[in-house]
Amino acid sequence: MKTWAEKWMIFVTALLLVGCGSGGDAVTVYTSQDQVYAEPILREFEQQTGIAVRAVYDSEAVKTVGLVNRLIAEKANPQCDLFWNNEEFRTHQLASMDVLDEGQSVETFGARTRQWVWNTNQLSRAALPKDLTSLTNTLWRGKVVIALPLFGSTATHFQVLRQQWGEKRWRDWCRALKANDVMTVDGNSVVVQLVGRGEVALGLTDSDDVRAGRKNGLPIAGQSIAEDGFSIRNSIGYIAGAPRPDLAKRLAKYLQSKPVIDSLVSAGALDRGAPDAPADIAWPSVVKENERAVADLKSIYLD
Amino acid sequence: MSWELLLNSFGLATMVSFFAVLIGWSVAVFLASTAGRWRIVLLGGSIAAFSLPPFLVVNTWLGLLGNVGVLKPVLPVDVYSFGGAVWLLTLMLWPVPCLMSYGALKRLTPELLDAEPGLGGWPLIKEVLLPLSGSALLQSGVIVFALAFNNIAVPAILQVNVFPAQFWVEFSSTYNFKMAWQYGWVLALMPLGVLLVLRGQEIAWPWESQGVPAEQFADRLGQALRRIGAGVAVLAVVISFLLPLGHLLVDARTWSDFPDAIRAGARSIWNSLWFAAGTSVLVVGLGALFSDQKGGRLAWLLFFLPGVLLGVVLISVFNRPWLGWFYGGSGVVFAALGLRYFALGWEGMRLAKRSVDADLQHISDLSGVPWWQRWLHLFLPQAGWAMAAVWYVVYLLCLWDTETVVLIVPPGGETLALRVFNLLHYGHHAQVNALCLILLLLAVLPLIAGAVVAAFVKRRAR
Repeated sequence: MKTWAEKWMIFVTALLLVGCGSGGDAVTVYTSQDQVYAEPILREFEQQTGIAVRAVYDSEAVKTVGLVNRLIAEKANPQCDLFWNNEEFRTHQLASMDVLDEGQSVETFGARTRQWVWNTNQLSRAALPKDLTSLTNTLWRGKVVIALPLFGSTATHFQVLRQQWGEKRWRDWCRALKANDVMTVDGNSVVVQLVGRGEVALGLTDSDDVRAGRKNGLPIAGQSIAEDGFSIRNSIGYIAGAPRPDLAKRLAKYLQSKPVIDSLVSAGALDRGAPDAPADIAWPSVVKENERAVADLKSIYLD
Repeated sequence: MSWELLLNSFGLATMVSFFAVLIGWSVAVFLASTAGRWRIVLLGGSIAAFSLPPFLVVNTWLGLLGNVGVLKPVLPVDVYSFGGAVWLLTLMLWPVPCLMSYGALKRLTPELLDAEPGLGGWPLIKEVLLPLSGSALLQSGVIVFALAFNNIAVPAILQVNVFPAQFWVEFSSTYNFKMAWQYGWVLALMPLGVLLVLRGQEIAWPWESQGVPAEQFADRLGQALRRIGAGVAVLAVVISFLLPLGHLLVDARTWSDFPDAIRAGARSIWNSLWFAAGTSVLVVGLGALFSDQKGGRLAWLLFFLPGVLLGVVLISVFNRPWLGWFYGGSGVVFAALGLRYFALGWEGMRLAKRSVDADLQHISDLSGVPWWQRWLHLFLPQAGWAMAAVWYVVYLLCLWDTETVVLIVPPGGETLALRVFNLLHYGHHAQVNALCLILLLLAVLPLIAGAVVAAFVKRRAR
């Protein structure tokens, strides 16, 4: 009969045996780019360079924010080398919190757009609202769906609107939108599914989600939001104290190469003919105001 | 904390428990009144229904009643709803009350039945069968309640807001441990309640008793009730097992996407196999090591604790610079899955050890036989099958697990179950069927390997 001490030694040894981390010559990337788009690109990088890529993808329900918070939580113990984000705001947020390497600026490439998505069996293009403020009209009561504006590109869109419109006008609009029974769901792809099923006539989503929905045969169409819309650029952040910074640079260079951007465009993850110049958004001030904006959004959409 | 969401979760789990117990008990009664091939087929079907990957069931019903589902034109039911979540979770969990009630019903002896010779039909159910299986119904109902309450994958995919899913979203979007503990105590109440209800109660295992001969039981039950039981049993097995399996195998996309799914998910396949097989070895080994410690029963607390809460605890413990080698590697996944399923190993190995001949054990103790020789010559020949069964159950649960690992999965450590969960959530369904088939193949892999080894050993023995 073994003693307690012996049993615990066996237990700890067993844990140690299975617990060894597998670092080696591998670059670790956290990416909020949709897994179906990111995975083939990372695999191609592995094949071309022989460098293994260990990726963490995020979930649609907590789009981008889940990974950003994981990076913040791991700040003292960085596991990640490179953050590949399919939008810009959260990368600037990480930079402001010193999670990113100070000596490296945030790099951006490619773009998607915020779009109206509508069910073609229920709405015509001519019937689309002329701008976002029209969504608070009774005409659209209970007929509009958006992703919860605390995550992903919808959160960024709302925060950019706050900067452009001013706090009061923005807060009034958010409240009016909620009062007009806007439906909030987990992620932009769910917006597309609901519109495609005809449960809601109109939605706000991203251009890549519209393309994915159309590819799946949903009866939907999309159009960029002309006024108050914006371009969502992919961004790359280098993690401060990353275990393998050199490999991170190689991967970042690869991700911004023309063949990769072309393949993202062909897959539908980026818009064709995206603007080269970054959008005119003062990210530092958006980041600075983030906490207050989130508090407002939570009180309006969650409570 | 959202009390509305908490009530929603309670409502969901209560309804799932009610329907699962109702279906499971009806099937169990029919099983007890049936002999021969039918019993084997339906019993096997019940076990197989419980062993199916949850995503296979979800994906099947999305294919049937989803936005472009094949049954949608004739059956305009919305599967993306509270009712849809109740339906799917019931289909997955009814085998638990079925198998537990079956064990209880097998305790009915011919003598007990003969004591009331005139009792048959509904009075037999009311006076004898329900009281006999009451404890098993309560136990299984509580277990189903806890499993349904803790499930985040099914409600999340169906867009049904439940408390544990909201807990996961809130924690992921803040990494706020203070908030996590505020929510967590409610989630921890669940396993505590389960343990209190099950405290001191004995579980009736189906193999422990012979029961009443099926013909005698059927005769007393009456034709009408037997027919109802038969209908429920056949429908339950067909809908919860054959339908998902058939949908998977018949769908052309399963086969056309299969090579791509293997290519794209090669690492996930390996991760799933490695984590599931490794954890089950760990759990069985540690279960054997600690099976004589009574405190092991407390491990059930971890089994019934929502997996996401366990993930939060592990992050707070292991996310430290000097533990980076463990937290950033597969160790944290083994620790999470091992802790979650340790109770099964402990309980299983306790039962397995109990089934070993006591006299032989006593003799080997007295003669000072080394522990490894006792294992090789005494324990393995007598309880090897029970040990293999425990290993397999833990292996399956690890294979399907998403809740425990969703927060802590290390870079490059994505499992097949997580992959399917994410793809379903995104709405990219193209490879899900093929991935479910791969999951199913991984599930039967140990059975095939076992059969090959058994055949080889048998051949050599000749």
